[in-house]
Amino acid sequence: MLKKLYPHKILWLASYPKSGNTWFRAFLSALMNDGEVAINKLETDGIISARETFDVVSDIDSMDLYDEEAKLMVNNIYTHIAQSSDSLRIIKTHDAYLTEKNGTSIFPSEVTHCAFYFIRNPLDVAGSLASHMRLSIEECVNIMCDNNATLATQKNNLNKNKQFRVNMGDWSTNVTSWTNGVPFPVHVIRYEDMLSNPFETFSKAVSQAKFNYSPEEISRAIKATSFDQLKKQETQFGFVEKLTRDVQFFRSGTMGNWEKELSPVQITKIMQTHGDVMSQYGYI
Amino acid sequence: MHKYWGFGLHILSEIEFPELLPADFEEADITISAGEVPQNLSGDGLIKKPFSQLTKDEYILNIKGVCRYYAGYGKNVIFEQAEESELLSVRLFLLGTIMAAILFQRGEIPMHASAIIKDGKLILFAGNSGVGKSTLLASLSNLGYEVFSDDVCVLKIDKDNTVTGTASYPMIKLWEDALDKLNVGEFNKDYKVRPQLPKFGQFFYQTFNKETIPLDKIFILSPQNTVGEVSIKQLESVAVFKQLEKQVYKFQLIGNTQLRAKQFGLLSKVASQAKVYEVLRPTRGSNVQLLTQEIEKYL
Repeated sequence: MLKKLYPHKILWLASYPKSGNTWFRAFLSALMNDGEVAINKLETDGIISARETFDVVSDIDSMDLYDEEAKLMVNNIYTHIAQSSDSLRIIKTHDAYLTEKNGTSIFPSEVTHCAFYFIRNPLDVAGSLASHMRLSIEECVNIMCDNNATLATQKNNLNKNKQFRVNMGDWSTNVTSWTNGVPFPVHVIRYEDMLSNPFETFSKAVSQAKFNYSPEEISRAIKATSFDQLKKQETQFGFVEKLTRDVQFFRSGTMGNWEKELSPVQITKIMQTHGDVMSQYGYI
Repeated sequence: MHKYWGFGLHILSEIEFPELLPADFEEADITISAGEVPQNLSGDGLIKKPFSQLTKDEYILNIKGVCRYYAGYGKNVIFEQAEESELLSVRLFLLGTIMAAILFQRGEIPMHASAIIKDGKLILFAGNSGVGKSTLLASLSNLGYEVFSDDVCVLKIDKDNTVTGTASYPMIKLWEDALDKLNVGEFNKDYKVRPQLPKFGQFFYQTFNKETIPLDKIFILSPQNTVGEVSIKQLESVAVFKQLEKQVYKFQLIGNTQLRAKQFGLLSKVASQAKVYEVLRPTRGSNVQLLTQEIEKYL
């Protein structure tokens, strides 16, 4: 069991939304579970912005805190979670890696095993995000270009959703925040490589995380979590993590959809705003 | 010193608590005073967490920039206010976490539930923070139902072996957006619970009932990531127990194994005496009016 190898540590799975994070979580679950995976029972440990976890560890009703106050406490909360756990915690996030008012990040480096950062062509993210959030592509392109963009957005200083406000920044900020100057190892995985070259990509990730699995075990986990398999499970059983029941979470899982989905104006806006980072990762 | 009634207790306090019910008594159950809060606790079974420490009889909590608190032996609360803070915030967390710690130290079980009285019996609406307990309570109040308690209700087994409940204090806390949706004159935005929080206290001193009232039904509200209709079903006894355990307010503050046994006894009794319903509430496409309408069918 890979989790037992690294007690008292956290593995962060970070990404802009709709970039392969859930797929990778399903892969790790299959890896830990002899090639079996149930999408509604993934063996990873939730999301950093979950309010319930915060409340139980802090003893405080976080809805009575200001969001900035809560953000300053998250680092301690996850240090405690790691230290009191006898196995590796695998925690997802869409937050950018930012520095809070007190100079710390919400991600405690002392207890971090390492992080994976999943990146996907932003032109493809736009359509996927629009479907997921039930917004227009236009709205999603704007979100992706807005450096103050948040998820679990709570208007008028309200602080009452199931998740704390997620400060994800614009698409480029999200990427560069995780790939520059983070004080622990961050391994970048391109979504497109997961699709086109799964064995090599997942094997490399397994080795970067210092997990010990044979090529056969990795192949089995890849097969169990192919896009078609995950989509089939969602159709059959639903998926607890999606925002709304009537929208498919695992939508097309392909690359290059943007050519059909985005208007020339939308394409230009994304490329003008994110061209530098896109070219760094081979998207233009 | 100020004298109040809250959570079924006589409270003697150095600071004013507009949230609590003024009362007269000779002997206080608990006292609240400003003073020095110890940095650390010691003793058997000490649990240390990032902002708190817990033993069987004592508890300390540190909310940076707000206040440090001590709760001991079910009797004493000491608070040390941060310079940049104000009493409103000090009171807010004291009436939440710290009162839960005091109640557990006294062997009481607070449930995370709002409540109304119907036909002389209690109907509880339980569920996690943010699920809509207070808004539902306010909505039922608009329809003329008798409000009993907001957010917390203390349950116990009385002499006749009946489960009864005691209210917390005569104030409902409502978010600004809930107030706007409720759209009625009875509620107002006069009393902010924290200076920068759009959440407002609504007082109901006049109608407040501090008696212990027998329990009849519990509705457990649970958000679902679906669109559309509210679904309500009565739970079978095995499922009831599992669900009820999760509704104990700040259950992690139970530092006493004997109390866990007591909690087991109480919840078993609740499961056998009360009708318990699970209310699945869609996170999108539903509103408080729809929820109220559906719940009313089962009241």
